[in-house]
Amino acid sequence: MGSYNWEAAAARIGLSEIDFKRMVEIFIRETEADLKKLQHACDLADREETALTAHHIKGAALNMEFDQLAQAAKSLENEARQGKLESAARFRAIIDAELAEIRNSLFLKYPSK
Amino acid sequence: MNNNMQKVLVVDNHPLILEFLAKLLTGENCQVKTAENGLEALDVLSQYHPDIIFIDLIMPNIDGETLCRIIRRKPQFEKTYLVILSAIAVETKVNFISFGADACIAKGPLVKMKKHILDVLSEAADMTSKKGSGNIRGLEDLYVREITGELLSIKRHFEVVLESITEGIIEITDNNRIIFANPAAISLCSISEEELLASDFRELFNGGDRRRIGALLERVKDHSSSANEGVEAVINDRELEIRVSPVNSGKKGAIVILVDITDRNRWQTHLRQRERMESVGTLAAGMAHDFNNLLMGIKSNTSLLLMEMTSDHPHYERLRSIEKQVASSASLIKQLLGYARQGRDEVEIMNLNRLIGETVDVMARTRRDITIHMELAADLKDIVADVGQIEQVLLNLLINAGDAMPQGGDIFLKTAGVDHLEMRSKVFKVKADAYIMLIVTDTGIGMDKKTRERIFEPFFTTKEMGRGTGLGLASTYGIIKGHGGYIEVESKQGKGTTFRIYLPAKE
Repeated sequence: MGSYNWEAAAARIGLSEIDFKRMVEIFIRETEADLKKLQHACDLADREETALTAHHIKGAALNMEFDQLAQAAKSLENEARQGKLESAARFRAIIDAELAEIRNSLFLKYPSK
Repeated sequence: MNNNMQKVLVVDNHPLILEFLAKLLTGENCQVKTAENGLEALDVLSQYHPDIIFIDLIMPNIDGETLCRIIRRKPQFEKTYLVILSAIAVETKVNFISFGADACIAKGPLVKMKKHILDVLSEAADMTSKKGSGNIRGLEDLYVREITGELLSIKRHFEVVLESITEGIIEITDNNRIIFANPAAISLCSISEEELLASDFRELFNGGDRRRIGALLERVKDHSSSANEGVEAVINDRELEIRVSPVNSGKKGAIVILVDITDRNRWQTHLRQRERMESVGTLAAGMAHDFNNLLMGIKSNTSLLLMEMTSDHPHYERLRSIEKQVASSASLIKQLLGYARQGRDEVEIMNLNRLIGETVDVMARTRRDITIHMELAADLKDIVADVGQIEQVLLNLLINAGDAMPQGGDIFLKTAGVDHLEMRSKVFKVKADAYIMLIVTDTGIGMDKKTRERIFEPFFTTKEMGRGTGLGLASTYGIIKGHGGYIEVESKQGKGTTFRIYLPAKE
């Protein structure tokens, strides 16, 4: 989505802005929790858990059409399934960066809690 | 509430999907409830009767397919429209029809899913619409995800392993609710999967077993128990060894392994019993011979004295009394020798059915409050046996049955021919042969486990002092063994007793 047009995104799905904002907040919260799990899995070199968690992130990102975040998660999942974790930190960083952008964009659009 | 309002349940472990569907469907004038997994869904369904249920296929604590099967077996949800939400629809042909779902929507961009969700909403409301075309909606919006295919292959591999092993495997949550049971566990518990899942594991047991299982689960949770600590308990008359290990992952809970040790315990009991009886038998045989010799000495001297006097002699009656008591003692010794003996005295070819008929007549005359039912095989093979000893066996069994029914009752007698292969499940090792089987069942007071394990022991009796010698069943055991046969007993307190006797048939 790049710089996010939240009104258009809400209209596309057919939800009110408030409802769509709530969904993005849920997405951010869940992905932050998944990133922590990912960190833990990578620290333990647990490829199975890394792949499963990346898969989880990817699914939610696809639902919300956060394509770049989904792509990074997919790449991480692929690597982990092939038994490699060398690029895990890089993909995690991309996911983190994309998430930060989503978070910041949402806050800019809807500054009050 | 509007009567046309559709009632919906959404079951998915991702809060995003729950939020989206709740908002979307509420906007379509639906009443919506949500659940995060299959276990929670079953709890909701105990109080809520939805028209449509959206179910995520892959989720913890009872997955989507299992949940569908459980729901479909409940009559109250026969008409409920079940819709699968699948993130793996591309990689695997989800045969949602086979587990009772009516439609399947592939997970993907929400804007695409929305269209399919609204379509199934209309279909569910239209009672005349044809359900279950088998096509997965939204597949065209997705791309093949190869890696998920590999994940699924691994999952399927473990499913095959769990389905194949003979031990029961049950997974429980940290509050003891069952969320998975493999086919072996379902078979051991003898209840359906839909009753088993979501139930409290401790409720499979009664009384003391339940308390001990509960205590074990607490110890495992507190990590005060080492992994794989086990206890023995009973489910459906099967004796099980139960081991519990904590789940070593993010989610709390435990894995329970159930091993059926009924046959192992029976075999061990049988061995102990046999060893005990053989050592008692050796001792008894030795003593019996010595006593018999002494009795013969008393008998012969008494007989000689009686021969030298007339009936009006002052000591005549006393000597006659001694003679009678010697005869009673000899009879008792004979029973004990019967238990200890290994051979048969005078054998002949005989038919058990005929002997049963004669023996039962005697019983019927003495106990009119007992009804005897007979189911005797017309083509029963003959046996080669000592008629007197087999008659003694029959009388012992009938007398014991009668004693177990002081207020009257029923005795069932059955004979049949059996092959050694049909006796394979028995505790004793059976020689390859054809056998005749005699079953004697009463509707009496039955026996507890401790009594059952000892009834063939010499001198063991449940009767009060002076009323039983404890040799009847011991000699029965010895006679049957001496004829190359087998005897076993089944009994439950309050439920009667069954003896099964197997004797080699004549070729």
